[in-house]
Amino acid sequence: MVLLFAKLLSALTAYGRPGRIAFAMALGLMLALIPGGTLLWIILFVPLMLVRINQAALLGTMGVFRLLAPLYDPFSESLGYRLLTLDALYRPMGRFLSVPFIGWLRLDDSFVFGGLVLGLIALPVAFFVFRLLVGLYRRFLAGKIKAVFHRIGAKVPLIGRLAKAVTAVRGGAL
Amino acid sequence: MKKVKKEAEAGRSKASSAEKTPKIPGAFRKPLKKRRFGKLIKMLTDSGEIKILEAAFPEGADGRRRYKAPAEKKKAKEIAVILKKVRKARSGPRTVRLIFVVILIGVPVIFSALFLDRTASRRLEGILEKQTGTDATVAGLDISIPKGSIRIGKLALASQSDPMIDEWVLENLAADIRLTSLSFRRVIIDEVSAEFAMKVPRETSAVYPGKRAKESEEKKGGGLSFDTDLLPSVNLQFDSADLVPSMREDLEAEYKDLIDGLDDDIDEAREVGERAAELLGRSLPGKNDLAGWTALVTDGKDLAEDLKSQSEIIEEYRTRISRAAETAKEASEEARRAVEKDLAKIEDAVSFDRNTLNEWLGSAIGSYLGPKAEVIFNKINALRSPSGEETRESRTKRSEKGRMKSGRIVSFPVRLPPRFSIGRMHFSALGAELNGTNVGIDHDLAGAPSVLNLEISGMSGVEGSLAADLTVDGRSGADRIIDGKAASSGWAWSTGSGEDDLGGNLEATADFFVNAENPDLFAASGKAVISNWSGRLSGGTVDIVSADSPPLAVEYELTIEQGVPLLKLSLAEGMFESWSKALAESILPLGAEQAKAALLDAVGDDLDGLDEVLGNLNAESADLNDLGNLLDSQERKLEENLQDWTNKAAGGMNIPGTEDIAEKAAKGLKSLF
Repeated sequence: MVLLFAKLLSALTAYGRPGRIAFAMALGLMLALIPGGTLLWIILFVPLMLVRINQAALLGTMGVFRLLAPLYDPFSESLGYRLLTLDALYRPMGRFLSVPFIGWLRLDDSFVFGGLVLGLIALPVAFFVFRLLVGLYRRFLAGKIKAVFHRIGAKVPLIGRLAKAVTAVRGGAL
Repeated sequence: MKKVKKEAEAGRSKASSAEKTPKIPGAFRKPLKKRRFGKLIKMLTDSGEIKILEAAFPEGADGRRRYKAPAEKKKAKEIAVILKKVRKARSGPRTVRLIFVVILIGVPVIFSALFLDRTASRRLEGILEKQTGTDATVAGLDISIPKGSIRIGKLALASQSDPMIDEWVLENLAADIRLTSLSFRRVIIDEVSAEFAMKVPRETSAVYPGKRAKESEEKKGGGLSFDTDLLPSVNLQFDSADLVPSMREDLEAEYKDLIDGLDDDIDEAREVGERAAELLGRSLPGKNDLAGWTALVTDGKDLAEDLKSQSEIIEEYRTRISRAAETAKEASEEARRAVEKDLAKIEDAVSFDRNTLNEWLGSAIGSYLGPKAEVIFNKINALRSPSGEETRESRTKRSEKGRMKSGRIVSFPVRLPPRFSIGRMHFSALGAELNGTNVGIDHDLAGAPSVLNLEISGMSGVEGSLAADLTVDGRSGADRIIDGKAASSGWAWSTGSGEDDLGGNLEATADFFVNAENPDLFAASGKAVISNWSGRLSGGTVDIVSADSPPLAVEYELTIEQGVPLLKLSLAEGMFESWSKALAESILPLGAEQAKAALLDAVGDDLDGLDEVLGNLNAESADLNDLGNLLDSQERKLEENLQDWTNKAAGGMNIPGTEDIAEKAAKGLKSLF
């Protein structure tokens, strides 16, 4: 938990443009919405690990939103079911699922499909929201929080560790 | 431009001259455009760091910013660290990771391309030998992943009784898998064929895996193979398996040691005892016989010493035996404890839980990938469950609490290949041939029914032949789900092994089907012909069926509806005539004779009585004939005498009507009787 929190904080103050950090966070949110362990999730996740993206922001956001999964999972599943049972989608989806390898993505599963749709919808929205938050954080909070951590860290070992972790992961090292 | 270059070179030479001056990444050594420097600044969050960099990159006359190393080394180092981190946070691929992934994927691919056949061949042999316990040979294995083909030249399992014979041989196994079907999570085998043979001589003697395993087991020592029907083969280490035999060996050796000298010592002790008794019973020497007394005392002393030493020896034996008994008791208790522990271990192994599964997995990994892999697996396993065993209940609870696992599956009109299908299939074995087309499931997706054709002819030990065609059509709209034909001929059958047991040759045909409208109804019809009768079937005193009987053809109709069978049998056309004729020719004459005999039996006495009466009658008839003859002669004589008498009475006179007189005389005589 400490590391997860540290990752998220460090991501906000990492060396990188706020837009890139916000994008990484938005991708993290999308990955959190898509059920893990599916091929779709792996296909999205593995390439992201191979490019220079702010992984601390991505993994931190994903971890935080995963904790909230029980809250939004039923919603994404019902959304997926509603979409999949739309008459207009019946034939196009049939044709799409007839494409080789698409079957492996389990897109006929309402939970997977709902997660994907929700994730794709959330991606641009989250990007702008996170962009704004990162900007605001950097402008108004980053310095203060850093100072607070350093001040308390000297007295409370846990906070000290947190501050250390923040420093360690800064710059997307993790 | 030249000026800029010169300045940069001067900067570089200055930096290189100072060895300890930290280097900044090369990308920042060049002059930075305003826009690029702006981007660099935007990547920073700390206002202090921004100020440092702005100072380190003063703006030139051309509007570009060039790095100017600060005089203070500490600051230069700080700048280098910031710039390195900024550089690290740039966009683009992560080369090292990319290379790692390429290696991760590429190495197995290359390995497969180079060594897959050999490795798979060895692995397959190992699996077969483990499963069957005999020598397995896999030759000519060729796996081509790009083509999706698998070929096995020969797969043989040696006979366990004769090492120069292969009991089962599978040859020329070829399977072509359609790789595109895998992209739909389906398996389609375009063509599969194999030939099967039995009892084929080997060129080299078989090497049985049991011997190898036994040898390695002997080398390793300990451990018992634990194999039951319920569990996979597990090699559990039983402490008692080693402990109890070793204890027994030790105790036996000790006992042998103890016993070895004991008998001799006992004999010796007895002898000493006898000598003592003899000495005590000896008559005493006289009062003045000093020498005698001296000798007696000397003997007594010697004997006392012997007695003492013998009693010591015996005492020592007693101590040793008592100690050995104690040791044996302890060993026995220990052995029992060890056995009980092992029994509990077996109980644990029988009950299937996560630990057992992990043990099995570890053991499997160890045997296939080596002991190092097993150690790694066990470590990972220990890390995965540090707080002990996770129960099924807790797992369920966690999954209930955690994320959803899956949603609802919605059906779409997807054009998919069938889930499993074999395009063409050909197997031949021992005179039997099995061919198939489109064998599999999901006939709607395949667009065709499954067709199987079986032909058996010339099979060793089997006289008859069988040909069967089976069509399974699961497509929607199909009339018949199952439609088939079967024909067999030359199948010898017998009701027993005796000469008189009824038997013959069977020839049969069958048409069967299951309608799509009523899938619970199975209907079959056909004809069965029995010919070349052997033995006999007796009906009382008469043989209804014998070797001379004509063939019997029966037509049948069988229906099985919801498990209830109904069989209708009828004689085939022409059968009644041929059998009635046969019965008329064989049974009726014989029956007539038997009827005659029975009748004769029944009426024999009566016939004898009749004969007797007839004889009597004949006798009477003879008497009567004699009498008749006598009378005739007397009549003749009388006639003669009357003639003579008539002649003499008429004195020679001719009396008319003498014939009338003779006639009247004869009539008169007859009335006398």
